[in-house]
Amino acid sequence: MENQLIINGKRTDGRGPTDLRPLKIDVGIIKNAAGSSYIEHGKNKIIVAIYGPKDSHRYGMNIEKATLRCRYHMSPFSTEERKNPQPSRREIEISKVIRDALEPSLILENFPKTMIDIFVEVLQSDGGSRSASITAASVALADAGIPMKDLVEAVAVGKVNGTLVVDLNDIEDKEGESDMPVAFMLNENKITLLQMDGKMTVEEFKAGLTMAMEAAKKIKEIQKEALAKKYSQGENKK
Amino acid sequence: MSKLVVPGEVVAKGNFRSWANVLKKGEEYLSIFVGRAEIGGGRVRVIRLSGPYIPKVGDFVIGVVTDVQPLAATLDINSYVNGYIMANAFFKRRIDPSKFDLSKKVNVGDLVAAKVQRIERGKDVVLQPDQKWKVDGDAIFYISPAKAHYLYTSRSRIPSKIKELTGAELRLGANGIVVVKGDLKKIEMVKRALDVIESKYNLNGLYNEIIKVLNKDGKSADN
Repeated sequence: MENQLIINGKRTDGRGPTDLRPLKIDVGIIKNAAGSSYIEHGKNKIIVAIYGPKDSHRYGMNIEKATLRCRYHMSPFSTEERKNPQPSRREIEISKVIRDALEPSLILENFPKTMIDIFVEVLQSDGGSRSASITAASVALADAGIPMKDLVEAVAVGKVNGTLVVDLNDIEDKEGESDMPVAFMLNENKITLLQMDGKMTVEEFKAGLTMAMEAAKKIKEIQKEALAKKYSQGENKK
Repeated sequence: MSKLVVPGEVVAKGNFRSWANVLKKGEEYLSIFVGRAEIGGGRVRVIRLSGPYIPKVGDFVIGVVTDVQPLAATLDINSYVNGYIMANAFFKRRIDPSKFDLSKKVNVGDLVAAKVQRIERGKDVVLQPDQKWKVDGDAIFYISPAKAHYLYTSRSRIPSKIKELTGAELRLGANGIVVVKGDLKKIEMVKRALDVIESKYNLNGLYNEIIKVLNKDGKSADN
């Protein structure tokens, strides 16, 4: 029998279908890195650090632009049961997905023959860790001073008990009918990531995309506030 | 006061004669960095507040020699790329490397002041040594290259004031390297001033703040 995850329009954590989980971003938390950020999105706790641009090895060097590399890793203590620290198939896939979602926003042509490393470390995992990682990594890249066309913000929409919901938590992710993470460059009006597990009708897909876009606008404001908080330090108070 | 902008944010709309650190999209100018937007005099630009030193032809930089080969010396210029100075440039004429030994002129660990002459293949930064290329100092400081313009630009009154109030000799590079010559007390005072630039770069009246910190320093040292 299907679990009832939505009762009287409320989800398991008390949110409505279009509500985001609490979201907090801090910028510049790792002094050794060129740029860094920390995100708490629901129960997700993730650190992102950017290293580079730096000299590229001959292998993988691109003479036209910087090579972007990403490593997404879940700490052994990030899940309820110990996670093997070796990179899993899922982690390798998400590393690629994060890199592909961020690359269109970056102006890598300014740094030919170099490489930029993105390290994503999940300290505590909940549903939507790839979306939270993309959101945080985009802020960390801005903090590193890598030229960007736009910030990237990501969020998942899905279908739970026949209802479209935004920003799925772990149980909705696992037991819902479908899950669709989407990443946006809102100013450019572009989608840089679109994945889907499960099934949706065309109408549901269109409605879901609109809901995701509205949620992404809220996330973008939080990204901007986080950057402003760091870079307006020491400013004269008016 | 200039406005803080983030990547993708619209800095200005309209037509401008020149622009820097923005993307032009139709009539809109979008920032590509986290920085301070400056609009006026027919130009729009964003002064970035973070990021590596991006070499630009004409910049004066200070580099640390990391390798000396018969034909060229390699320098760490606090950037994602290395700087190179050809042996000819040191001797100011075409030389035969079998007869001249570049390591007699310059060695690993030396500090060299030079001007960015050209950037080849998008990455190799060829430098021209300054008239007084040998940089002699008692301490070397690295400040964030994005904030180095507070010291480096010709408009800035800050370097001369630091020199005046501390009595130390300074050599500044656009790449954020500051070499100080002086005794320990002078070096400490310069460090205080550089810390103010790093932490309070947003402050209106940064110049006065530095004077305040250095004057306070002077008094406490006298007591």
